[in-house]
Amino acid sequence: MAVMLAHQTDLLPTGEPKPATAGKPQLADGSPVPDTAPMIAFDRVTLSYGPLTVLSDVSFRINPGTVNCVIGPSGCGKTTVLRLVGGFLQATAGNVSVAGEQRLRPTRDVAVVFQDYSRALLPWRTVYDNVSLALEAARTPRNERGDLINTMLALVGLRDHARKFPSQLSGGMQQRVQIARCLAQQPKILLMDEPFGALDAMTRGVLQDELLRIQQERGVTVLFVTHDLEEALYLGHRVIALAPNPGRVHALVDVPLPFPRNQLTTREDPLFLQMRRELFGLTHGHTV
Amino acid sequence: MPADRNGRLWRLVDPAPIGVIALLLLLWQLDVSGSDFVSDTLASPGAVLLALGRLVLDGDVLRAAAATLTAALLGMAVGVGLGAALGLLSGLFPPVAAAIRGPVVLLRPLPAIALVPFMTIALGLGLAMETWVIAFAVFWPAVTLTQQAVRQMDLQLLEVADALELGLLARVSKLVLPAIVPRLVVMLRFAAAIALLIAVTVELVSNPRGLGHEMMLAAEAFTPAPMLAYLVVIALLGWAVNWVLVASERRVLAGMRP
Repeated sequence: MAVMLAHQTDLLPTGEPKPATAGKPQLADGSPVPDTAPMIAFDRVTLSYGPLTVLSDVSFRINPGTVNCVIGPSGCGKTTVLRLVGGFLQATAGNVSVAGEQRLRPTRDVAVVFQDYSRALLPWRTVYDNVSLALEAARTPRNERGDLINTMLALVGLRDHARKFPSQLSGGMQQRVQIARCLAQQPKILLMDEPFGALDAMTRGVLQDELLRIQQERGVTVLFVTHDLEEALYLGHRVIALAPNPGRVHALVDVPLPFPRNQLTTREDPLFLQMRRELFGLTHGHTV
Repeated sequence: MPADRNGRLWRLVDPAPIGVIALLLLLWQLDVSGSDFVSDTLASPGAVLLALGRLVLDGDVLRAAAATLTAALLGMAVGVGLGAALGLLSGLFPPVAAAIRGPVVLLRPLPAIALVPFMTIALGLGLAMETWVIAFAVFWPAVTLTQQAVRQMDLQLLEVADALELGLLARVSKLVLPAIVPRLVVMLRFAAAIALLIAVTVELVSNPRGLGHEMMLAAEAFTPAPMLAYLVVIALLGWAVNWVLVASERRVLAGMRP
């Protein structure tokens, strides 16, 4: 197991992944992930509330245009990582930067898809007007909004539901509305906090594939928090495995599975199964 | 949908209690009719009804009701307007809440009606004095209820606003106000009841205008029929104001959750 992991991961909590040789991570179009400036960088980040240390000495870098899944048992600080990138929290020590700039507060170029879609949408606005909120916030001229909103709704397959209210939609559709609103922000980064956790398995699979398609189309960088290891492997170019008490990086694992991924073939891929087995041992070994 | 709306109207005008009241009035009238009933404090329902008819025809009732209603509405506009604005600010900004906590604790328990002498000296008798006493009375509940409404808002929505970098004005108009509208309407009902109570009380105590004053004049002249007629009008006015607010509350709430 250790041999297998050695060439694709770096188990040192503070380390950067070693230059990959075999199984170099690929972008959706099959090209290798470029060694450009990171879109998100955690540099020895610690966050504590008084005596309680939530994150301890966390370091990692995320390349632009990649999907990165944060996994780990509850209490390991997954959501805290996301909130730091969102600018909702400030690190006690260390540095969180987005596109080379220190993260001090939320900005429109980082969009947040909240897990609880019903609380993140405005129940008094239609689907169309919920997406419009992002454009109103960006002061997009009124006459340009319509086309943009319709483009975003088409992207998530909700063109025919524009005039409905969130309460008239299923959970999966409401989450699509939230994703459409976030995309309307024209973000560089999409932060997703267990976005499909409340959905049934079938809807979840469909939305996972849609997310990958949209991510490829828009070239957005995704930071995806989940407690579902298989979901993390299925979606990610890379998996950031955290360990709890205090939250720290346990492993940074590149996922060299080819794109486009497929709910059947990818999940049956021997590499997928092998990685699942190894990461399962890694993440669960630590909770005991 | 129209059937549903009719149903709502029927629930607002419940026939059962009206029937009970009509029965009681009828019994009272029958009891009085059988005797030589003379009183300085009570009149028969028939006499009250006659007096009411006369006052309506004279236009006295309308004038007095308009005077009372004007003061109540103006007072509400001032008190609820200022109170809701301050409640909104203190709900959004903890430092504002901390700053007003002292004055709120100090001034809120003060019965508004106790301000009548002071306001009379400051503003003289009349509409202005009555308006300001009412405004004072509704200001405090408006502040605290609005502040609570904002505080009880889903924080997730405020994070959505943060992530979108919404400015203060957009945040309030697009997120906060729509989110607290249901609570604001409840606050408005509460304020309306207080406004009417204070208006009539100020008129009873000293202000020579409106329904309260007319009722007081009738009482001083020992003419119970018009006095009770005015009492009926005040009751009807309170009921009507509440009816309008309940109806608009239902309409707003129906619009919120389509």
